[in-house]
Order: sequence, then structure tokens, then C-alpha cells
Amino acid sequence: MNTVSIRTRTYLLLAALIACILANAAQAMIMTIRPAATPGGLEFNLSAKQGYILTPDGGAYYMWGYANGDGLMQYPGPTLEFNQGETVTIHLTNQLDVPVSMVFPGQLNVTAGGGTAGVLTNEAAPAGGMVSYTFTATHAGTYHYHSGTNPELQIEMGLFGAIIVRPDNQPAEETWAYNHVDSQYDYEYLFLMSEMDPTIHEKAECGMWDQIDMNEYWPVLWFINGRCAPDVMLPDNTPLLPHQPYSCRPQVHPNERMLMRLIGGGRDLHPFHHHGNNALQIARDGRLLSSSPALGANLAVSDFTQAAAPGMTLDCIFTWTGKGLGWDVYGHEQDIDNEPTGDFPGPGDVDHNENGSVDNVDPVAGEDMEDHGKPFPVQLPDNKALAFGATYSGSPFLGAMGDLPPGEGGMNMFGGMMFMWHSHNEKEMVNYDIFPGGLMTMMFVEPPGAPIGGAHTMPMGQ
Amino acid sequence: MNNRSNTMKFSKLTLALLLVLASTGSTYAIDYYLRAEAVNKVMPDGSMIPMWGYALDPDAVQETGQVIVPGPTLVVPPNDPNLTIHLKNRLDVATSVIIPALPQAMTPQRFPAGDPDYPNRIRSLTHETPPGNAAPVPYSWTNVRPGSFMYHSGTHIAVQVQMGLYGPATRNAVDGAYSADSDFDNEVLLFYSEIDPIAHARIASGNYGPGEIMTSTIEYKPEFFLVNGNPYSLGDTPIPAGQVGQTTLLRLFNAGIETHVAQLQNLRGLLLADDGWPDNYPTDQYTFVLPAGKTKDVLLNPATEGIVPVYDRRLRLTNANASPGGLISLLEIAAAPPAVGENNNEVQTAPRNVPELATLAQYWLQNCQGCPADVNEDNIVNFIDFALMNNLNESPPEE
Ligand SMILES: [Cu+2]
Repeated sequence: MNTVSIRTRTYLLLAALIACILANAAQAMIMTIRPAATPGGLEFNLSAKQGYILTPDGGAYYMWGYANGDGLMQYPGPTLEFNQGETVTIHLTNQLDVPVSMVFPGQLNVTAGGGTAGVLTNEAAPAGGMVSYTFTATHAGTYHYHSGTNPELQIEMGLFGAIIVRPDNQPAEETWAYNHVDSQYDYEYLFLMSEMDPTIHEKAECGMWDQIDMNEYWPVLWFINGRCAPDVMLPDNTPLLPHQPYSCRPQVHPNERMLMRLIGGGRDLHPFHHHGNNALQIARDGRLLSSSPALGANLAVSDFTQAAAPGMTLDCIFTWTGKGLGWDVYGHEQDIDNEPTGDFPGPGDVDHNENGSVDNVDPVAGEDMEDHGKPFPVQLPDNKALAFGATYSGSPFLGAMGDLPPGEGGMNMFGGMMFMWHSHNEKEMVNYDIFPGGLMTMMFVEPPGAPIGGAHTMPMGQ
Repeated sequence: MNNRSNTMKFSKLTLALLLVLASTGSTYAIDYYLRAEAVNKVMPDGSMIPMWGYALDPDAVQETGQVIVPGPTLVVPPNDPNLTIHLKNRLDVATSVIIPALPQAMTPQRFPAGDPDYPNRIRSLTHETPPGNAAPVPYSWTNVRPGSFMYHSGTHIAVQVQMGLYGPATRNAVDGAYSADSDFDNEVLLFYSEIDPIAHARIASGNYGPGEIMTSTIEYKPEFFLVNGNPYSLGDTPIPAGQVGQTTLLRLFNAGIETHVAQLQNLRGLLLADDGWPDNYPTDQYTFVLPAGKTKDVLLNPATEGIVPVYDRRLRLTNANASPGGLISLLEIAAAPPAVGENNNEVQTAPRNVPELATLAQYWLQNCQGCPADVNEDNIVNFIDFALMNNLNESPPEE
């Protein structure tokens, strides 16, 4: 029974050591732009530009997007970061040859300066026109912006982006999404979802505007943060994708709280399905789900598919411990199974989870104690009988590595557990009809002590 | 706090009407005389769409009402859960009317067993009104709860709802939309629907069905997206939606086949209810998902005057692919009026929620002994003025 159990302690020490060497900053996992605050508030300079994005099936598509300052056009536009209470002014310069604008759903009392009046807001004239928008970010939360000019075309062309407003009342040593501890998180990730009909972009590139029929809309590419799987797993700012700087690589340690910021950026609803565990939906449209502020997210809903409808934002807290697996995900050996080689019952043996079985392995941080020491229920086949994926560590246990044939594995440095997170509209897991791809990423539960991500705030580019 | 006084005034008038009704012991059930009939609608690009709509007739005999899409708003008074729709059918096919959110005993109608196309299959979810009927066919509900509802054809729904046989029905509680917690000063209805022009042409010309050019709506491709029966056109007049310091009840309906997402800009709202069922804890949102057949009630409490755009975030914002158009509404929030002194007469501001008041007034009129000549059922506004000027809200004359 115990033959597959693997001691993991040595490895965990190594992982801790690597973590120290990397000295990574923990929480800031979403790349944002944020200018230095001035007495008058925050002043952003954005421009609307054209450019090309790349898709994993080899496609290159003509896009319009917002750029940071005079930087490259981005898909999606820069993620804007404010603090609650700050007054924000966004200056938009239009370098496209059609009018363009920005609207800020969920924000109150947005005023527009300059430009000319459009249907939904003031617009910047083509070829160098300017317009400014000012508002006060009265509430913390997850929001988005998009073009208010012919939105059915301009959102499709790429003119949208995310907004994160930090709460004004979180304790110094913690990170909260809203002004209540129920929104406390250890790591945060953005899931800005969208879709694309390439024929529109091909016609736009050729200036065949009268050939574009929005009623024939038929998307075949689906995106998280402007990338299709598997490109979402390339790092932020990869030089391979100059117009798509944002990754989606959710990682978390057991029992830590991951904040998922979900935004329906396109025109279709992409039910976002996260394997591994339910998540607690704590906020919708930038407001905690709450019957009273003092009661926190007391109306939160536990679910495994988050329906961020077009325009809607959802904030969810995800945790994973392996609870309920029925076996010890760390592969802790249990003395009771080790007779006669073990020393059971011996001096170090403790009933760690008060379930009657005793062992001499201390639990790790975040371990769900119910399954501590429970044996792995199957006998693994010999390696010669297996085919291998690039992310198989050689061991079924968290934080453990096993023997692999030469050339196999290598994409799971710390022995993490991987879960596919994807649109539950399964046809959206393709790139132009090729599986796998589309609106999908892999979430890693990394073992305690393993490094996660890196620092991701860049200075304003002007 | 003039909105409070409005509310008080409304409540007193409601009370007065209730007293009137109680004292006369009349039958309370409200009756609406609807007539289903073909009508042509002109779209912003000039195209003429054959549609089927409902007209509101004054009684069982006269057919003077105008055929409209969506059909008239059927207001059920707060004090009475009974509603009867008396249906006349001037189409050349059978029809019927149902309200999906309200439980009701139904009597489904089948095609004959020998029908070549649909042997023995369900044709109508409830009893039918045949074409050309002389006496209206009644459809009654005894259980209309407070809320926003949609009535629509219960016959060959895939065709008849698409053709335009739908409309809103509303009922308030005595003290608010659902209770005193959802009291409101103003009311705006946004009723979404869609038109597939090819389907309309095929159906209207008899080229729809088994063996015809168009056999079903499987190739459904809407080109026009209507709010309260019309797609947005550049320059449309904004909809008055109350004023700063007052609350506005936004009733959202989707009679289309697609899901739409009503997104508010520059304002948020409290989601009060789905399908006429109030939520225990209203949530503060700016997106309101409207699947086919859905109704939602949203309470607005604007703090600043100006235009609040409401548009479909699923981006059905074109008229036959021409932009802008489709599901765009501009709500106009007026500035707060100058402060009203304590001793001001309550008559100064118009009563909230005129449609509901008008319905109540209709009851009251049935029992009005001394009303002036120009105060009658054809002139509800006069009646309201009369009632307020004569302080009928304070002391019912029937007492
Ligand atoms: Cu799955």
C-alpha cells in the first residue's frame, strides 16, 4: 500500500530556498498602469491606435486598441489602477481615422471635456482629436471601460480595458478588494474575457466597411486578457506578443486566497468554469454582495461557473487545499502503513487529524488535516506504460518530483497541481476550430514555499 | 422632502379609492379589451415591417383603439389581484393570450388528429380566440401579484410572439412596487423586442410553415431591435425619468428571442426583482441580464441631473446594420426642483405614477356622483386634477 508514498520534506526546503533567492513580491499579480498622484488627482494619457495581434493558430489580426501614452496599441487596453476616493482624469488622443471615445460603466458622475458630443459621450475627432473624462472613483472594485462610439464595432476591434480601484480602508499588511476582510486575498488575477470574428478584422484592414455586417457576427477566437490559450501562459510583456502584454497565469499555494477579477469584455457571455474547487462570488459590478456594509460579503455565492455577462464584473475568492480527496495530497507517509519498517507505534507518532490513525509527519501549511496521512488509493503504473505531458512532475503528490524518462516533463518546476480553467461554453476552447485553445488557461496550485509570479507594475510610459 | 409628501399624497388617494370601493361593494376586477390585429411598422431605414399587435378598445363592442407593438401596458390596481383580458381576434389565424409568470389553469388546444402537418400536436397553451370573433373571449387571472409581467400570445408562440403579440402588465403593492421598501416616485418601462424582417415577410405572406419557403425560425436573424416598439434613431428625444432626489422604478422586459444586457451609464440601480419576484436583498448593479421572457425591476436614485444612457451590452445597437440604432435609450434626469416650503399645498407637484393613478381613477369614476362634465373616463388627467384640487384625497365624497 505504501509503495508510492514519497517523502517531500527535502524538496520543500529546496523550494523555500529558491523562493528566498527569487525574493518575489507577493501580491501584485495584475499588471496595471498608474501615474504618480498629484494634488489634482490622477492624470492618465491614453491614445487610440491601430495594430496587429497574434493568435496561436498563426493568425495576425488588424485591431484598434488603447495605448498607454504613445506606446503600442494594446489588446485589451491598459488596466488602469486607482485608489478609492481619487479623482481621475483620462486624456484620450485619437490616432485612428474614425471618432473614438471612452465610457466607464459603474462609475458615477463622469464628465467629459473637449471633443464633440456623440450618442453616449463626447468623442475625440479622427487623426489627433482629443477628449478628457473626469470622475471620482468613489468605490473600490473591479470595473471596465470601453469605447462609447459605435460600440458594436469598436469593442470588437479591441477598444476596451479593465479598471481596478483599491479600497481606502484595508489594513497596512493586507490586501483587500473591498472595504471588508471578506475580500482579503493573497494573490489576484484578471480574467478579462472577449471574443472575435476574424472576418470583421480582415474587412476592416482592407477598408471594406460596407461589407461588415454586425448581424452576421460569428466569433471563432476567444480570449482571456487579450490572448488565446496557450499564449495566456506566456509571461507578461513577452516580446513574442508585443500588442498583447497581459498574461493569465493564476497560481496559488494551498489554503491561500486567490482573488479572481472577472470581466465580460465582449458581447457574448462566457461562463467561466474553474476546476479544482468552487469559488465564493463576493462582488458583482464593483459592489460587495452584502445586505449591510458591516456584514461583509454575507450574500456571497459559492459556485464553479461564474457568469460574468457582457459588461458585468465579478470578484471571486478561490482557495484549494485538496479537501475531500480521500488521500494525502502531499504523500505523507503514515506509520501505520509502514510496518514492519516503520516504528509504529513509536515516539514521534501523533494523531494529527484526530481520526484515529497516527503518523510522525508534521502537517504542512495549508494542509487539510482530514486526509493527513491517508494513503494514495491506486498503484501507479510503471513509467514504461505511461505517456507523459510536459507538466507532469513524475509524481502524483503536491510538491514532489518523480523519475521521468529523459526529455519528459520540465514544465512544472515545483511539482504543482494543475487545473484547466476555461469557458464552460466548450466550443470556446478552440482557436479557429483547433483544440485546445481559446478561452482557457491552466491554474497551478504550487506547493508551500514554491515561488509564485513576480512583480508586475510598470511605470507610465510617457 | 417633497417626494415624501408626494408619496403620502398618493397613499391617501389610494386609501380614499380603497374606501370608495369598499363602501360600494362593486366588483373590483379590472377588465381590458384587447384586439389582435395586423399592423405595419416603419423602421428608421424606411422599410415597412408587417407585424401583429394589440389594440386597447374601450369596451366589448367598439374597435376604436390603435394597434400598437408592444401592446398596451395593462395596469392592475394595487388593491385587487384580478385581471381579465377580453380578446378579439382580427388576424386570420387563431390566437390566445398568456402571462407566463402567473400560475393559471390552462386548457391546451391541439391540432386535429388528422392534420397533415401537426397531427394531434399542441397548438395553443390555453383556450383560443378564433379569427373574427364577435364577442370577446375572456382570459382571467385571479392572482396577479405585485410585479412586472409580460403577456403574450399562447398560440404558435414561435411565430406569434415574433410577429409582435406581446406587451407589459404591471401591478404595484399599495405602498410601493412590492412594499414600502420599494416605494418610488416615477416609473419608466423599457420593453425590448426584435424583428427578423424576412421571417415577418414570409409569415405575413403565407410563405411560412411545412413545405413553404421558410419552414421555421431556426435561421432567425434579427435586424431590428426595439425599445418600446421602436429602434433608436439619432436625435430621439430622451425619456423623462424623474429628477434628482426622487426615485424612479425602471421596469425592464425582454420579449425578444436573444439575451440582452441592459447596461446603465453614469448611474447604477438597485435590482429589486426578477420575473415579479422581489429579492430579499436588492443588489447595486449597472448591468441587468435579460434572457428571453425576463422582466426585472430596478430602482434608480439619481444624484445628478443629465442624460443616463441605457443600452444593450450585447451590442445590438444597429438598425439593419446601420449605426447608431437598436437598443439604446436615453433617460433624462431633471434637476431637483426648488425646495418646497412646509405649508405648501401638496397639489404643487404632479402625482407620481400617473398610469397607476389613472387606473384607480377609473374605478373611482364608476362611483362618482358629482363629477363635473369634463371629468370623465375619457379625460383621466382632468379627473386627477379634479380629485387633487378638491382634496378628494383627504376626504372621499362617498363617505
Ligand atoms: Cu472543464
